[in-house]
Amino acid sequence: MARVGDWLDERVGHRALLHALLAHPVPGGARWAYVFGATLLALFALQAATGIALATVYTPSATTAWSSVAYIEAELPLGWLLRGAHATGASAIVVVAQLHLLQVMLWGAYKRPREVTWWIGLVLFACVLAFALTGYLLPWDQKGYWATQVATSLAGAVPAVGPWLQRLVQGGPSYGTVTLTHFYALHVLVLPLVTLALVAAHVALFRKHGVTPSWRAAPVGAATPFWPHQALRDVAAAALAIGAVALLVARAHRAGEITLEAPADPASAYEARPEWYFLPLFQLLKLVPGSLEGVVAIAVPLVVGGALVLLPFVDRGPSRSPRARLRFVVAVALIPLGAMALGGLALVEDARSEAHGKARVRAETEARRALTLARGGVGTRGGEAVWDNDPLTRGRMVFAERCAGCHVLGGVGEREAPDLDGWSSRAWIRDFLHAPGDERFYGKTKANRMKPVKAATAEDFEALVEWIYGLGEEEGAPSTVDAAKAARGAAAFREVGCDDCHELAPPAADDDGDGVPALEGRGRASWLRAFLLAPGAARFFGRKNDMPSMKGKLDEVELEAVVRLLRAERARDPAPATR
Amino acid sequence: MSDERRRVLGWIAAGLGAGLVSVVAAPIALFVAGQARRGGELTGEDEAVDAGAIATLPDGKPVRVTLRARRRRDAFVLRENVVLGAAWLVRRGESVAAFSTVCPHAGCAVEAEEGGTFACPCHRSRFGADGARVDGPAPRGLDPLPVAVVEGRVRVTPRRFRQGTSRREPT
Repeated sequence: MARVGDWLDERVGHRALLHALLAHPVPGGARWAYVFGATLLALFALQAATGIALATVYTPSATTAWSSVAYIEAELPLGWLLRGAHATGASAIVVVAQLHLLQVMLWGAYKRPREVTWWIGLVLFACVLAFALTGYLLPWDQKGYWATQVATSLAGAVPAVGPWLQRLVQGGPSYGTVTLTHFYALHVLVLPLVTLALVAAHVALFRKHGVTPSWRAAPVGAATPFWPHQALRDVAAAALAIGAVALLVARAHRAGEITLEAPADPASAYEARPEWYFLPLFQLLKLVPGSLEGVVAIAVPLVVGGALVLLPFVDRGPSRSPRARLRFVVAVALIPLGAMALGGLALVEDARSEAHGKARVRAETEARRALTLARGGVGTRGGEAVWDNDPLTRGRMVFAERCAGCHVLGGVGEREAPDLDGWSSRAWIRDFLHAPGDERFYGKTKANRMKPVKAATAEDFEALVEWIYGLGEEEGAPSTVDAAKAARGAAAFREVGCDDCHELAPPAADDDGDGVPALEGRGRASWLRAFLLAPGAARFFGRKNDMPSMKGKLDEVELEAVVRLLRAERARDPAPATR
Repeated sequence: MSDERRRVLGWIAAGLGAGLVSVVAAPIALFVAGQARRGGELTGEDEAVDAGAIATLPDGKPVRVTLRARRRRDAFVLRENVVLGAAWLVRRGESVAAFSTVCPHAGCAVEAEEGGTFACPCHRSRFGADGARVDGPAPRGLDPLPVAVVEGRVRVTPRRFRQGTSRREPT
């Protein structure tokens, strides 16, 4: 081992490098107070690692961004953990960076000769926010889409160049795939490279000037080397931060919290809220009149940032004791306090708003549904195509494509064969028994031979309706059928003379059918499936059949979708008054 | 501070650091490795697809047809009317044979020659009209695809096989 090390050191010189990296003295000895920088580095590394992992699947395109994130979230092993760590890690960086800033502020560490270190730190903080802003849009879900709209419209409100700037950022007049690729390029290439360079400069300057000792005159103890004393504290702090991130993600996952909203829908009325660290700005915008919005949204961050940049020039006294610099400490402390007040106000207003609560419930229901439906893959129309996977939605699409030439449903289609609105619901059966030859039923078909049903009493008629409806109830499933009424209906079936033409049990296979459907199981899913595949079978319309078989025309998914659609129509009782 | 204590602290710091790195790296490794399994999970892959009417096929002369799936799931994308590949159909009377156009040697697209035999334009493998290897570097004959004629329509099941092996193994 040692010989391998010698061999390598002769060629690489890693020992001198390691020594330079690890042996530098920490004035006054190792302290827990110095861990913030290293913790930030560890969190950045976490972002890089999880970000690269996510990039192995994520695709930045308006058609596939949402579905790729849904795939990561719900189908790939531990995808939820990596994505959660990436999102929560971003929040953790904002928190730790603020603590870091606060400490530098309190300790007066921005003073001569560390002004440049301070400025680079401020730019790094801006990079962190830019990372957050660009990352937020990438899932192309409701939250990211709508929250980012606010940011880009603010860009559009910049005096003079605003509209141009907005178009540039968006890659056109409105959001689209190029908006995503722009944000993606910023998020995974530009910002990481800039941040890496700035972090290198920040750390190099820190190494040049050393830690800022406490303002209390002399260092309290003797200097100790960075390794292992400070390093141990740094690693422990990093482990604590990453552990906290993991814990938060696991807790949110167990609680079933929504981490991916429904796909972006430009037509929806989504109530967008930014991530928590942008809430103060969000609240501020509520307080200013619309015409001043752009000015305020840009001026406030500029003024705050500018004040921080100029701080080393304003606070030039030699003392770094907070007590001696009280007015600066108070002035700067107003920034986080103001932000917290605004952010808190935003949270309280939302918590009190019933409308917002309802909108959230709706959004979360949609988000859950979308994530479930995404499990079959999402069509190429874009994230919103996930709704096509809804059996009823797909059923309607198949209906429009294959059935609407002869049937009417939901206001779509031609009336050549029975209407399917509320098909085989009690109301549909009632209307049908009254007038089977109506054009809403079999009037225009070869199967039109049935006479209107005349029962002895209205009760008998209703009982017959109930009995026919009951034929379609699935075995063993909960039923809404009134058993006594249906039993009376079964008797009425014979009294009225329905059984003169209709059999209950299907005829033998070699019978070519007399064109009168057998009624057993009529309306059940299995019955519907058999009917759709062979409407001309003896047990259905036989030689009186007009309807083309769907065999080979519908695949399994489509067949299932149509069956579900018709079952849903049957369950709609009373049938809708679309006629 | 004793050197001994420093060494122990050093080991603790290094151990903690290594532990932290592995705790982060392990889920990432599982996530990435999981894609090997998931990526191949395609639906619609093994179903027979329509390859036209048998009546349109000339007797004994290979015809190249494109095989399209009505719907196919590719990871998170559900694509419709997707090209899965192509096949050579050879009709003999009322029966039809189907061969994958993928050369079993290195995966180039095999072409039909005059007289109903096949040749690969890349490395000059040649195959007989029945798909059997005649000469060239191909380790086996053309890969036959399951085919059936249903109500006058030819239905072919697209399949992919490993290349470069004498045994025919599905991928």
